Amino acid sequence: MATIRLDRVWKRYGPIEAVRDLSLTCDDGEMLALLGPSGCGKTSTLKMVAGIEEVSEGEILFDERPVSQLAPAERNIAMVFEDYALYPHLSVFENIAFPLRIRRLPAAELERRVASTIALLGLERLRDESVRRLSGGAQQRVSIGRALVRDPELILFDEPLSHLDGDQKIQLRAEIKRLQQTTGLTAILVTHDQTEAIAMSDRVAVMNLGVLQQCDPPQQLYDHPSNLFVAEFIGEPPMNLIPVTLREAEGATFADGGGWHIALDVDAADHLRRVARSDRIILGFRPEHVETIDTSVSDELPDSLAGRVAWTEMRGDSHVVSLAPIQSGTNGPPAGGEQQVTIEVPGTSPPDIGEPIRIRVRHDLLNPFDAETGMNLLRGT
Amino acid sequence: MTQGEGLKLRSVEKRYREAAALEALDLDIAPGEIVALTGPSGAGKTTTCRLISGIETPDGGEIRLGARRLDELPPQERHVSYMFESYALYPQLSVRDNIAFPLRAPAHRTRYDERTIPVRVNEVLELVEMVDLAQRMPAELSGGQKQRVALCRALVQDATAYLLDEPISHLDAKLRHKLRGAIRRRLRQSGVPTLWCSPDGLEALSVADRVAVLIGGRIEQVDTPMQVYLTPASVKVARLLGDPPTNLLEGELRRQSDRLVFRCEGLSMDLPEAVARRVETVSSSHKVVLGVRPTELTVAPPSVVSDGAEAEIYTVEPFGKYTITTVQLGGSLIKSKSFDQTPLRPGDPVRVRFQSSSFLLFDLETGNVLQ
Repeated sequence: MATIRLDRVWKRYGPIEAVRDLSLTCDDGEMLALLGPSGCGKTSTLKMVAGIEEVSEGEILFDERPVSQLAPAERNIAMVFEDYALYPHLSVFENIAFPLRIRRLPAAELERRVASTIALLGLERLRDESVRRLSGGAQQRVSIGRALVRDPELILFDEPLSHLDGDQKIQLRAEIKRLQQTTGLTAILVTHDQTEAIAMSDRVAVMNLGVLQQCDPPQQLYDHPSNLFVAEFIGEPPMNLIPVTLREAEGATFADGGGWHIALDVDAADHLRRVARSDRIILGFRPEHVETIDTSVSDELPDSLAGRVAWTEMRGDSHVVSLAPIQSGTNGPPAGGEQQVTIEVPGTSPPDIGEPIRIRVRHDLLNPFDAETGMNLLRGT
Repeated sequence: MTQGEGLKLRSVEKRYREAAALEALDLDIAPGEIVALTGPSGAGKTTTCRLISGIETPDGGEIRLGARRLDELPPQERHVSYMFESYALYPQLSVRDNIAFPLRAPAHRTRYDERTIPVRVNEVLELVEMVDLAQRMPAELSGGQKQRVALCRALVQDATAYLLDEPISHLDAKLRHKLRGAIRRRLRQSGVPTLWCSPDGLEALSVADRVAVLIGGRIEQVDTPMQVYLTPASVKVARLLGDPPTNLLEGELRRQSDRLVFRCEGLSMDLPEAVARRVETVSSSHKVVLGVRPTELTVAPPSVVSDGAEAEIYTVEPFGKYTITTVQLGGSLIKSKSFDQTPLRPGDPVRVRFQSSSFLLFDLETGNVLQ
């Protein structure tokens, strides 16, 4: 397999810039996801790599060989499509053998390679079945087999799981991940589904309006999104984003906003003072990075917050709870209005609506953003 | 808020040629109640909506709204608001006119004042964050945007019942989160029954007052979200719910003096007393399916723990929020959900420990829960 590099690639359709100045690398043996909402440029990018669409500007390189002038057939790429695109009248074996028959591989060699691919994908029992009679998940496995058998330099997965039912999706997601890890596939995955991208890939490139927003390993993307777009796009329920004003009081720094007064730890406050261009920033934290505090232990931890349950939602082994701030003393309603905070609480019994809850935000996972540019103030420092 | 009437389905049947699409379906939805209908594709969710709305006629049974026979009325006299899974937007009408369309329908002529129609339309457009796109034509919209228009067209009407067939499946996570709450509050206030169809079990749990699990044209269970999740009535229900769903292991129960042991390929374990008490009447060597939720087992390398069943890592999926580790144990793939990160790789040997007092036990033959 090969290392794939996109070097300042543009795609223009008339006046529309579908991909703008995109530079990305997919290393040999790496699974890279292109993730974003519709119109973000991920599919145009995939088509340029495949050679189905021309590159308007820039270059695509396989192991540093420029390929943008090569036809799709000359690039040694295999594709797995969302609708499987199998030959319906052929068996599992013949579908997988198809690319080898076109290349007129000797019969013994063909038999050996198809058989080992079938074994790799656990399709032995379905070998002679007509693909028409298979479940969606099995059809997609056949389609992956057809891609693998050619020994391509790169496999492109285009929304490979979007037509599958829940359990088949979960199963195939794990299988593709295992296959990729055990056989060292170089693969680019295009998906609009963040769960798929995060679970299956070594790195995820998030795109919006043709522009790359961030390309990082899933955990980094999740814990430290580079800007507000990524922060809101990744994670369900989404990250809390609260416009706040920084305030010094009694030697501590507070972030005030939406009716909340969040005490920042000393290091975070120092850092913010250095990088923030203004006292007004947007503070981001994920629902599951909020701890609930047993009020019987302590009512008034200095960095705890008081909220009242406004709404709850069951999520199986956890509950998502929306909290409204409880105003203390004579502060009155906050300027700019009240903002609810979403938290995720493990366990199957929800708190009651109206119940007061004390919470504390994990300081190590707070993300401050510039209110104007939307950039994460902790990054690039 | 007007108090609506409850929706009752009694022994409703539907066949397509020889195949039964729905078999003896019974379902009650109270005024102001949201019932989520969940099940795999082909289970009969859309068929149920089509029968209630009047697009299709049942082959047996009754559909009532309060005391009235709904299934004897023509569709336009039912005043049921139905959001199609396929959206079914009018391609020649703008977003705004698509949404206003039902308000201007002949059957509604006397119900909506032409001056209040724009106000209603704007209000639902705001809810789905599409005010800016009101003048667009359907062909200029993405799939998710079309879905929001279809949702608006259903919500804009005052109706005797709402049928939402996969209303938010193609939206991004942020909007889904917002709309789950917003639609639920709005429909509750409407005071009429709502049927919310979704193949996503998690969505069903989070939006509904009660969840109805439909599989192969039959209702498997109707219960509160908590009951469906904690005590699934059958293997089929357990397989649908949870993120990821419950692990299901086929094996055998053995009574050994005062202990109850579960055995399957690669595993033999004592069941906790709380579980054993639930199945006191079950005989020894009973064939069962053991249900273990992904949070009820831990996976660790043998260097860390010395006890537990021997297994091998199949794959590791880090989700940011949590990690799902799939292990191969005997002939089964088992998923564990944990909240820390792991350096484990496919093929690594591990030990698996099962820890819970709420394991589920089902009869292998019938698939029904043992209790």
